[in-house]
Amino acid sequence: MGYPPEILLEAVANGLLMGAVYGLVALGLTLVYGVLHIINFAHGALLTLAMYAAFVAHGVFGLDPYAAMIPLAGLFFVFGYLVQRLVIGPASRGDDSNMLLVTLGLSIIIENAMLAIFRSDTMTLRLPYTMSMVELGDVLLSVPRLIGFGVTLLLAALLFVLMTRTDTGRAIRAVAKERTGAALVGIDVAHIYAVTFGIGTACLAIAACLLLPSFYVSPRVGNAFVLVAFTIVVLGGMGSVTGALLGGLFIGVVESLSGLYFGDSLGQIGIFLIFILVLLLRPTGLFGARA
Amino acid sequence: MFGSGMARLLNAELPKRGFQVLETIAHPTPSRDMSNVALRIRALNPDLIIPSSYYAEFVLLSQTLQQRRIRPKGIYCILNGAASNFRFVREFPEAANLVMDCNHWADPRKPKTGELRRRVEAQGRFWLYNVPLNYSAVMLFADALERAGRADRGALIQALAATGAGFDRHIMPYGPTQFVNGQNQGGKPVNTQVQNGDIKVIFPREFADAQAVFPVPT
Repeated sequence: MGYPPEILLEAVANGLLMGAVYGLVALGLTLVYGVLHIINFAHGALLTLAMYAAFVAHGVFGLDPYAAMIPLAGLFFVFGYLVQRLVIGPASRGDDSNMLLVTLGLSIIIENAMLAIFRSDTMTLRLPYTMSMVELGDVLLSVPRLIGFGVTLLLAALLFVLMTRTDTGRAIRAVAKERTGAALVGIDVAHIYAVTFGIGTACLAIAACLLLPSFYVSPRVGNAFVLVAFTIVVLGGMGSVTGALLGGLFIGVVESLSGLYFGDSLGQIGIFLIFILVLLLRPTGLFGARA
Repeated sequence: MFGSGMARLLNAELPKRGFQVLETIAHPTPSRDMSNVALRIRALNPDLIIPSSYYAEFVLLSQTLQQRRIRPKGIYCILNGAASNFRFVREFPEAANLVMDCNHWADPRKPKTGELRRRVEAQGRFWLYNVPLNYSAVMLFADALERAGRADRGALIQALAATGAGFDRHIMPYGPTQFVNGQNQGGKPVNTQVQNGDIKVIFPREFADAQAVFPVPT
């Protein structure tokens, strides 16, 4: 089926806006992988938890999800820090495969706790700007998605500065590269592990606040984003902030165009085709070598 | 996979009834975004959209259609989780208005329907299609239990199989509940439509409490 240019343009724009949110979810995942060298199986569950937190913040305190973004990011940083420091670190006993199991266990606990508290109902927030659109010529863009795009770019820039220009960032990179060497020069490795996990979790809190105005929340909603986030991490290069952002945007556009031409179900093949091709042709990902 | 099974059935049956199926659009469940579905619909410009999906997906679709100002002559859902759910009607009144659904729904003429709805809503819960269905199923089971006189599995199955015109404690717009090979011969869905914040039965006429609004005024 051929489409007029304005529909193609709108599909690309939608892909970029959606891809930014994917990138944000992937940012946390790639940071945790880059430093801890584990795939965080609790990532989706933590995103779900953050979405419920934003939902409750709105229901109980009347906080708009955008206003809740900074307090929730702080809260989730502390939560992520403590989870790594008190649960994942001690329980894993330094064994990477144990960390996988611990994060898997965490995801099961979080998802079932959400199911017990909120039941399986799908919940949505009705906000004054939920349905707002911006017209750019023939192209209609969702205001919540545009805000999400802007915040993601800003956050990626901040993370880039953190990683390249601050002592904490340098310590994170040092631990990611050589944890024994980092410990020998006086870096508290356990603390850096926890800080990184905290940053990854804080990213999820921000992603949750950006998603909630235009998306629903249910006990397993986070998993819908995590599978695509794994693909983005592989595409961008494990541990690369730039890779996660650009990979997210790229995957968003691929998903949008392949969904338009092949249907949303069949269009998902495009994402996994890229996943396989990257693994075959460039296993380090597009920016993996620089990570 | 009730959506894909329904799509196959509609593709086979609708042309026989004078409908032209422009396209069947599948989407994954859960779905992250319905923008592409909406863009395909815009390009096809259909008179009628027939969604058959779960609650979350239909909420996303109807929101996206509204955002992108795509207004077909009608949306006729089949066994849809949202269009027969007051949560959707309350939270997205504009997107929900005039959406039709073919689903199981309580008989609005029975006094017990209104009474049960008030009790459900008084508990802060939404009135949706499966509440009267579940209520009626429990009443049916209670009736069978009383007739069986004991909680024995075989006796209960026999009592259920013997359910007939005498069972009138359900609140569905059904005829007599009679089981043949385990299937209820009296159960049939009705057509509902969201009208100004309420869900009305529009067909069949004997159960209807409102007239269908079609095509949707622009």
